[in-house]
Amino acid sequence: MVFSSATFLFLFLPFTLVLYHLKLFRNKERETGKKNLVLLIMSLIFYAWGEPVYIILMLLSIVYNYNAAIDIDSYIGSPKKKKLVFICALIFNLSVLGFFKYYGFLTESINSIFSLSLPVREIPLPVGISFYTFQVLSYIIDVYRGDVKAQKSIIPFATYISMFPQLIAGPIVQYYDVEKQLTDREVTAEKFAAGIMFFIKGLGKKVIFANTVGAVCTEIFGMETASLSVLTSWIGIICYTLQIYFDFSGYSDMAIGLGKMLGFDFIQNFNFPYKATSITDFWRRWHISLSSWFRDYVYIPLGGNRRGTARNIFNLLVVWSLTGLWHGAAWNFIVWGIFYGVLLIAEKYIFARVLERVPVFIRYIMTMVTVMVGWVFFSAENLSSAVNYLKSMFGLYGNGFADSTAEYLLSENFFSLAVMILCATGVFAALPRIKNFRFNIALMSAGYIVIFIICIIYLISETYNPFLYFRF
Amino acid sequence: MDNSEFYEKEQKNENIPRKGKGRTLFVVLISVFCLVIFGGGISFFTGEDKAFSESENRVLAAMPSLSLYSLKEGTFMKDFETYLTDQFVFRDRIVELKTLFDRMTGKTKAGGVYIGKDGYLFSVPSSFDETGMESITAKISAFADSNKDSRITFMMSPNSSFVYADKLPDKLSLADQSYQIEDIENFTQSKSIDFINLSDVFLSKKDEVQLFYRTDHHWTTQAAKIAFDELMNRWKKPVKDVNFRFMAAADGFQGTLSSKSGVSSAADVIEICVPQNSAQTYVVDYGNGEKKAASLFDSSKLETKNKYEVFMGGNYGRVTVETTSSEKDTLLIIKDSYANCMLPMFTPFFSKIVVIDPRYSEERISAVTEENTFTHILFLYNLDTFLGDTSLEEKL
Repeated sequence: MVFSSATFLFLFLPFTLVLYHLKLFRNKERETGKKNLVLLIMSLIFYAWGEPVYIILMLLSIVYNYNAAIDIDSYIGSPKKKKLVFICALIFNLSVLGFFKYYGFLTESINSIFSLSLPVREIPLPVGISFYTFQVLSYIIDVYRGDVKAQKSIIPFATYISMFPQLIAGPIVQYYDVEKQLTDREVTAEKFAAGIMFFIKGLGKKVIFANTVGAVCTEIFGMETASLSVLTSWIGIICYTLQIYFDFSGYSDMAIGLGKMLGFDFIQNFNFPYKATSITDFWRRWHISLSSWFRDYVYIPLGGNRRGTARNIFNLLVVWSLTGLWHGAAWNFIVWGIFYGVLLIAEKYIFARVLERVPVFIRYIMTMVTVMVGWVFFSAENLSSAVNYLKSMFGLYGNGFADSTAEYLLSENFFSLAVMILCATGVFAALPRIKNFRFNIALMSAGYIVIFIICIIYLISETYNPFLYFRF
Repeated sequence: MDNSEFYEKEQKNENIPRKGKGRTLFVVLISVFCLVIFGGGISFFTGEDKAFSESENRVLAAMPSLSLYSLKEGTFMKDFETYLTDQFVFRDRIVELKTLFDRMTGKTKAGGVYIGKDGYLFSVPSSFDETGMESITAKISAFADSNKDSRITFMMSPNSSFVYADKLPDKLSLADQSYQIEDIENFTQSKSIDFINLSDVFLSKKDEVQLFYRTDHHWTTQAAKIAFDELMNRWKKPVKDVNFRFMAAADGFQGTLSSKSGVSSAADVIEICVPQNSAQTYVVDYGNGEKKAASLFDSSKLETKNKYEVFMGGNYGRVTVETTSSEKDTLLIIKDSYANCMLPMFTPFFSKIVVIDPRYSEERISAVTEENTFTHILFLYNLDTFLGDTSLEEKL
């Protein structure tokens, strides 16, 4: 089920909210227990609605990891046994992810490298597996390190893994961050209202913005690349740049908002990435929960930057190849990841001094152009079509700077693109506000209600409604 | 990656309401939000399902049937969502609002339809796929070569976005359909096919006569008559001997483009054109003997949304017309729906006309030519259908 669907908005959400907030017990602990159970059952329904078969895989993962963590915890006295169980758990989780996500890619790559013809099987990717596997791994590793205690009760644990707000497209919530909230949380009117605002903001980003620019870039990406003028191909990639941000950050906002309606506080996943003035800055603002995960569970365990320059460069390359690979089982994602790894290393070790002297505006433009070049690799079907698209962006096909198609696209989308760019770069958010708190809340409430109504209008009248991040 | 600020996991957000302040206002937001989602939910249970949408001119989704299979395959969930959105309260109003919204923000495209000037709507033309065209024209050529005894003509009409390009939204320029039709002609190797590209004659007459409906993707009966005259001229048929009469059949026609885009602009008039030979009668067999009638029109369709179905009552895979004409000639037409309004014009000149629409037909066209012999064979297509449809290639 996706958030931007009538089934979710008008049936699943109201039903869940009623069951969840219907007070059954005076005792706070028992009431939270009931809430967890409701959340678990509804989350399983939510998942099964989209993946009626693969839900078995998720349940299996829950049961296995629940027991593994308890085992790890119980072998305090015998580090060898503890390590064995831990490594088994790592292998189990990574091979499940590996099989469902990378099997086809791996056999294809092996075939093409060694010119073999192993049978390639296309296995449909279970929705959200990349996200929940990473959540499970964070838990198992934290338990092994002794940073958290294993969850003794299966319902709160299963709730953590399957919780519907972030189940499908993040943020990747680390167990450490929600451990307390799983057994002790409350929903106030303020929190619920804040949740509504986050949710509507996210829904608007997805339904009003992302879907609109998405249609434009689908149209442009569908044209013959070799015939695009420079301007057309740039409009295409700008639209994609906006689409992927609004789509993904919109989903995160909806997740955070729903979390708040249920009493959870998740970490912020995006912080105006298109305001970044360097690549390092960009990655501090984009998909924060994923970069945090790789930092905590790969980069720092590898030694981070504490083992000298050469080792640091190696570590960064490992982290970024994995980041690329996490996004999809294809070479263009790996190239995309390494592209960023190399740029981050260059920024750190080569250009750090030079960049300090470059005016902020120029740095900003450089960063955005780089990010958009990155998105070309990300959006392309394969490496060669990415290279072809880059050729047209930089005028190597000799189709001139602008043609009538570009002019039409620009005049057709000028208004909406301008509004979206102002929103994405944080210009609107940075406008001065009236200091009166009550006035602000009144204005915001009215604004969000209008946006919500517009979202419903868009949702009902549009059939074009795919979630981009489901691929990953 | 090492900066300390990055380690801060909780980032502050100034929009989060703080405790105690403005509480009543939160309650307003919460109430309205809940009212909308609960109201929407309740309306599904209380509202009565509509079977058909007049404005969209299609059957609305009904509650899907629940089975273990449909649950396992996930089709139930997909169909259920379609059902909910199709049956949503105020659906028509909502779609209208959206179109209004789009036009206010300068959009000139809605639901895959360009909103042009003077009330003209245009469907987005299908793209030209060279390899696809090469393979279909090869099949047509092979068909022609195995029917050398018949006179074979391929007549193709451009679409309104080409003919009335001056009415397209500003700055929009589309591919030249005249060239595309020429390309198809050049691909067609067989010498036994006579090709008629209607582009030039339409361009020369577009200001005198309205050649296309403003809100529908079909050509008008006037355009069909011009095309008919071109064809009869090629076939050396004495078209002058017959009087053709135009009659207005319906006004207020809002066609498919209007439905698709949600824009109801200038309504059109549907005309019919009939030959005035009093002695002329004919029997029409729609399908294979299932429905027989003495008319190529179905006036009951004038009461419905899709008034173009007045011609032949819609689309049939195979229609056979037996006329009382003294002519010996027989005609096979392989066509899309553009031919529907032209068909009555042929009746004085042929004793038997078989009309095949490959999109709705299950039989191979060679089966028809084996069981009958035809003096004339006509392929009649508009470019858009020809480019976008694969059924002709499958049936040849």
